[in-house]
Amino acid sequence: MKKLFLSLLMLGSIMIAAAQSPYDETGWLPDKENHLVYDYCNLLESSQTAELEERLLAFNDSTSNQIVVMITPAFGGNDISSFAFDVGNKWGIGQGKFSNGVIIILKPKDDTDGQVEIAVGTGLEGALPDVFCKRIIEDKMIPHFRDNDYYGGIVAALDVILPVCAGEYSYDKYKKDNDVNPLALLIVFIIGIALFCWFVHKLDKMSGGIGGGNGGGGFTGGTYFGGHSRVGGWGGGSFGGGSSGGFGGFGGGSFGGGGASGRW
Amino acid sequence: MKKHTLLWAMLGIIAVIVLWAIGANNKMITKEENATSKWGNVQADYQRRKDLVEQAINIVKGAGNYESSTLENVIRARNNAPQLDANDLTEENIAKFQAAYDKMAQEMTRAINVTVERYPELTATKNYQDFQAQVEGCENRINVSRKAFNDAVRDYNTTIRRFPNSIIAGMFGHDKMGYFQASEGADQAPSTEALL
Repeated sequence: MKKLFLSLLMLGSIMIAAAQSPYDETGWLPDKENHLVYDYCNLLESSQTAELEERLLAFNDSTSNQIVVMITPAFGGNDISSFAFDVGNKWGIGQGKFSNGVIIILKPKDDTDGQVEIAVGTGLEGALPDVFCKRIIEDKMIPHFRDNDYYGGIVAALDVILPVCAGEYSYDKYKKDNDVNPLALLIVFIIGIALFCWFVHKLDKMSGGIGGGNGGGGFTGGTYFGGHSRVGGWGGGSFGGGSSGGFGGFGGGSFGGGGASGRW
Repeated sequence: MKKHTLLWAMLGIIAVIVLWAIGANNKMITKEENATSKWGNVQADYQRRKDLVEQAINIVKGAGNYESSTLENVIRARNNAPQLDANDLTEENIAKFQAAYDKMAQEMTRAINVTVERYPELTATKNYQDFQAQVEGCENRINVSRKAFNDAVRDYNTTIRRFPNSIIAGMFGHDKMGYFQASEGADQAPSTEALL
């Protein structure tokens, strides 16, 4: 009995070891993390990863366009395009309003062909049409990849993609679309005050009838006001939500199938 | 006095039920609308495939000495590719719709391949390469919008079939909607590269 148990245990641990590389598993999708460069193959040097991350983060901060670079050995049993669009849509890369996200997926060449995909969020399909992406892949990326210069290929592609995206969505535009109209805020505030006054007045009248409840009415009003002002304060501050200058998270952009792929 | 209390209680219960029914019905309408709008995207993406057939015809014609029967097949398949109204989204209609468009894509692929066989140098032209990139993008868009449509339909169907919503669905005529099924060989639909 004990032997059986032991052998079962061993079998179990072997199975766990075999499942250690989850990338081939059907339906595998990477978990969203709070950064923009994902290197599941440890293909790039850490300094290169950091440099890419910094560049893309700065680009996100300055233009609101979100570009993700992902290096993966497999696509969860899917083809590279479906995988890219699934990741893009699940993570919500790009701002929700613009869908200005791009995801670059790279599978390095091993026994099988190397593959690369540029998936374009719906909001950037005009700036980065399929044919244009195909050109970037064939002319800028694959020549580098053939020489095993993966970093160079990625950088060469970004050199083309970033300026084009920046031309489509700038931070000013993002800011403008996200700013709350101060007049609207004022009106809401005034209505709030009026309602509050009316409420207190009503309460006063009611408690007046009972007699001696005046203090109670004032107290209720106080908590209401306190609650109100607290909500207002946090509501204004919730935008951004980033931690200490880091990446503030994906904005909920969507992907419709635009982009191109290539292999070598 | 007692009679009145009972009456009021019953009226109250009825009011709650009516309010719930209105809410449930509105929820179904919202989900149905969502699925219908997703259908609009699907239709648009299939239209894109239709437009690509135009381009394919031009490429074949541009190559000169082509077999007119190949081209006729493409044009016939294209003309048979229908529009499908969002009100007729049954499983059957969707399958028919899909089959017609897949046929069109296959005929397009065949015509292009026949042409490439005769003129291998065509593959090196910019026109042809751009065309390939567009075919790929078109297929990706169809996949994505089909998936989104299926998800929306699944959400809607689950809502209307669940008790007690099903009663409301029956009363207000919310019917089950059809899904896209993966058709034979559709996942590698018109990849001309595969045949080269």
